[in-house]
Amino acid sequence: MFASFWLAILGTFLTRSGIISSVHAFAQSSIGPWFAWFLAITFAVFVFFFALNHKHLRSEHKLEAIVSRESSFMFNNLLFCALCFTVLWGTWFPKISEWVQGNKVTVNAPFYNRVAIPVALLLIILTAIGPLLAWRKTSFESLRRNFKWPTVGAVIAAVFLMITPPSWGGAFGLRPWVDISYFYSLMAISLAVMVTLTIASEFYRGGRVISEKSGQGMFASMVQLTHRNTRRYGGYIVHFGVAVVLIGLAGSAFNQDKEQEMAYGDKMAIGPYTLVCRSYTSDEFPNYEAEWAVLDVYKDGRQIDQLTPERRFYKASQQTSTMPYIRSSLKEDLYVVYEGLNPDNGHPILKAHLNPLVMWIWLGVWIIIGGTILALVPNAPAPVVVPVPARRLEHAAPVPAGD
Amino acid sequence: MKPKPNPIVRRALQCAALAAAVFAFSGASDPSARFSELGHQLMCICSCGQILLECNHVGCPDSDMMRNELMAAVGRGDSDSLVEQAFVQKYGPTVLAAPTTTGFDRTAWIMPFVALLAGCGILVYIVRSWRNRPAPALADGITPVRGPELDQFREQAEKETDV
Repeated sequence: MFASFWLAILGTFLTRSGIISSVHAFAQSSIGPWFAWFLAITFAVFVFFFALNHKHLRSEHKLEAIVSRESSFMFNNLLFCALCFTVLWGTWFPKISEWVQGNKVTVNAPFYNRVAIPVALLLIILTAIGPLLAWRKTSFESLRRNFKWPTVGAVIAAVFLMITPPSWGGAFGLRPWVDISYFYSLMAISLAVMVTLTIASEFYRGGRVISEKSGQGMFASMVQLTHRNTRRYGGYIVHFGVAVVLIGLAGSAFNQDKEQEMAYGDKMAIGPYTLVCRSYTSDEFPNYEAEWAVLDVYKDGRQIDQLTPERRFYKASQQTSTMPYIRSSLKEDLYVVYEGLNPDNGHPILKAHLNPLVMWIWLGVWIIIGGTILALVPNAPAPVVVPVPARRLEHAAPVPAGD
Repeated sequence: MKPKPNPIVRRALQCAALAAAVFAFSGASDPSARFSELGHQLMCICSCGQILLECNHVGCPDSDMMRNELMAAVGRGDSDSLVEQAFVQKYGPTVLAAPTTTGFDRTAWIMPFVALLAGCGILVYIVRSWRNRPAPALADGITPVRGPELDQFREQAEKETDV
């Protein structure tokens, strides 16, 4: 808790004080020393209260086995801490390099891709394994039995994605030997499938136990199961949402973009789409001047849409703003930006981006929100069958379910 | 006498090792793949803070020129290190998108894994100390279940709940 608060303030200090160059370092003022003092004082307060209460903070847990859900939580926290350290280290390294070597270096995406992605993949493996581990102790036999089908499913998904032709678009045709980013994408999607199957098996096995005992249908049993322990099953739905987000992020390995000057009737091909410029014009409105192009979108020789990307110049603020046009589908997002006019011939310059699986990120976020809301719903009381004398039945109260 | 490994298994392992080596050491060879790979290792210098080939800064004054320079260097057949050196000489060390793997820059790559290993060590220490803790005292009259009896109860719970 202390570290989270302190690091959040440290991040604000780094960007707002101008120590690290950032788009947020807009306010150059004397706030830096004030911020530094605030950080020092809060750190001192944390250390003081930690020293004062360290006896109460000491855990009294006993761990029975390394292969248990408790230890999986600990490894999970370790990986999150490692990722946190990576971000902190990567953020500070340009400054440290300047102090030590006298010159700044850049720490951007290639660094995080190489350092953080392997750790993040380990984290996903734990997300898949975690629900299969029992509290206190898990036998390897039980782990092997429960892990078999999710692993088989993940391998089938990986092989399927590798052998399909790239012309199918999206994440199909993932050849991991072509590029390391394809390898990471393939791993991410396979592990997301494994997480999904693990979660599905949790719902299925729990639902089957209730179904066998109560004689209800499987779906009703799974609903009842979820209602009995909303925190646990809401949490699984959040995990499923994370898996869906992961599939969306894996699509970034296939991002494409193209920039082209387009006169009337000119064509631009990007992925499975062909954009044809039908017209371009400009107009003046009370608040702004606008330039835009009208583009027909063709796929497989058939017109499927018409896009009107626009560029505006706001008179009062003297600011230019682009109004990109986005065509979203589960497979990919086509994102077209009107960049401006070529001053030599007056033709518009357009930039098209094809970003696969972006919709999956949004979908995953909605699933995460749904799972979180579900986890906040109070548990339904579990029906308890207790042989008690008939005369006492009228006073029997339902017992609330635990975690 | 030492048992002789199964020839099929041995051949399969050799094939796997060869495939791994080819995968590990194969680099981008065609010019467009090299352009893409190198372009993702360089920064645009217009202060947008973006990777050169991902700079979507409308009307960027630098990225087009830098891309052309990169394309020319790749077309000439310059090696990766020569291309990077040329960019560093012209635009400074901040044009590289990640620290190099020489000198002090190496610490950038090593430290996160050192931290992870140190964290693993601390975790193993915690797990051991928690395992060695004495069991909490039970109220009078309750006898703790241990050994085969506990395993039997666990097995029964696994069968009944299928967990």
